[in-house]
Amino acid sequence: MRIDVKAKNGDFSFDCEEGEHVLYAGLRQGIDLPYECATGTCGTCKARSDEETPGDTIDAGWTDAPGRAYLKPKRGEFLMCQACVRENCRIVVPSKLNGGGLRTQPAYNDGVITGVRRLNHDVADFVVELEEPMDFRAGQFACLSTPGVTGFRAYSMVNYANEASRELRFVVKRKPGGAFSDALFEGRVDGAGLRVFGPLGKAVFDPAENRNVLCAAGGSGVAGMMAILRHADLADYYREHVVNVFFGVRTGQDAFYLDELVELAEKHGDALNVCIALSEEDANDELRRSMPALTFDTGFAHEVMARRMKDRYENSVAFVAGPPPMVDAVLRILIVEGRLPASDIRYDKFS
Amino acid sequence: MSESPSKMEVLARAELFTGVDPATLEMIAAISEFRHYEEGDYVYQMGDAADHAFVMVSGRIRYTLGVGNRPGGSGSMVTSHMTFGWAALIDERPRRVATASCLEPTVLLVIDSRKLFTVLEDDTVSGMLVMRRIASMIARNFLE
Repeated sequence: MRIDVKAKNGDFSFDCEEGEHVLYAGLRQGIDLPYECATGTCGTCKARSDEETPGDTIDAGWTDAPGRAYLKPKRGEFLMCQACVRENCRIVVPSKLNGGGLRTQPAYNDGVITGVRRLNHDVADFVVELEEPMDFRAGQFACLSTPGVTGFRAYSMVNYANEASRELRFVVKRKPGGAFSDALFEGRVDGAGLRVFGPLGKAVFDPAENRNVLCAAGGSGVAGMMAILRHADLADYYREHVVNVFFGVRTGQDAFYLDELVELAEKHGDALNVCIALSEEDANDELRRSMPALTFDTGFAHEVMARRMKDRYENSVAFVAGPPPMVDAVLRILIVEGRLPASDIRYDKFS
Repeated sequence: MSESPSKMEVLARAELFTGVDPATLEMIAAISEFRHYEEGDYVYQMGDAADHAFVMVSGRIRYTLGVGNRPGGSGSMVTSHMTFGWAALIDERPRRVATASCLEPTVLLVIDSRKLFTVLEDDTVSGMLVMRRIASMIARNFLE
């Protein structure tokens, strides 16, 4: 099917396969349609059908998508990340678009789940071995159609390589009743096939920016930060810049990737400061003694960041990921105390 | 807060705008202006046209919600970082249902409500956050 798009800056068009989500079809053909989560949650990818498009041309898809709360159905609005079209049609996107291609153009890929590891009592990671290598940037995510779950879900890549990679590593936090996370924790998905669409996301690290880096992450939000730290390592970025990481968890038992963080911190000394913020307990002596390369502090990630970064935000670009209250609190500090402009604050709105 | 906060700082501290995307916040800052009031000045009175919302920067304001067409009770205090003037943030553009008067020299960040709606139309996530908080603000006014 052909989809004609009327945007604020002109007309665009692209092909869409039967059953394919409109957003994914546009992105894979280099049209930078607006999105954030790409999985029905945030509402950023809203569009509406043109007046001349018959009402039943567009199948709006997932009826319970949280992002539908942002729509005005009477105006024919729908979420491009969930909608499919039944025939050629014309839609209206209330943004300016660029049809000249994307720096990392997403594509469909097939993969197999391997290497599932439990990182602590409720966090695991796993590798997806792709059929075709994917070229992605540190901080990006991919949408996975995981076993037992209808539709795609977004996961940030933990790993990073300087070239297109066949291996993607992702983190999952166990959710009560979560079909995929339960299967993962019960060892039922090793070897399972899945569909991947990516890479996606604009909260990316670019060594050419030549800035200090501040990473604030809560829980599994550390996934994208790990990719950024690894990219900085491969780019020899720590030679000229300082990277400060604040990783918020409830207790020492909830932390993960500490061995990887120790390895990087030991390698880069004063250029990489990693602070684990424990919100529900003080760090015990054993933890401090066993990982002298890391700093442990008590408080929420944003509180610890505010204390330790006071008057040190200059020439920094910040990456933020985690639960919405944590992200909100960090954004406020970055603006009020760090005085960072919006262009220097990067995060993806997953929820 | 420093002696002269930027518009961005004021907005970022206001509960109404918590969680709003920084890029959107910059756009809201661009359509806002600081306005100074003397002790005894009215920011608005019941029945005035409602075109702006306000974020308190410094000073003190008495906020008195009306009953029928008369002011009701002794009112409540508006202090730093609080937002008021929600009548301007309702699509139907009603008149003011409260009176806001300055109890001391006061500085407000004044936001044009029509322009605010336009900015929030382009960022649905932030728009929904703000609208939910406005609903809570209205509910609080009538329940307290």
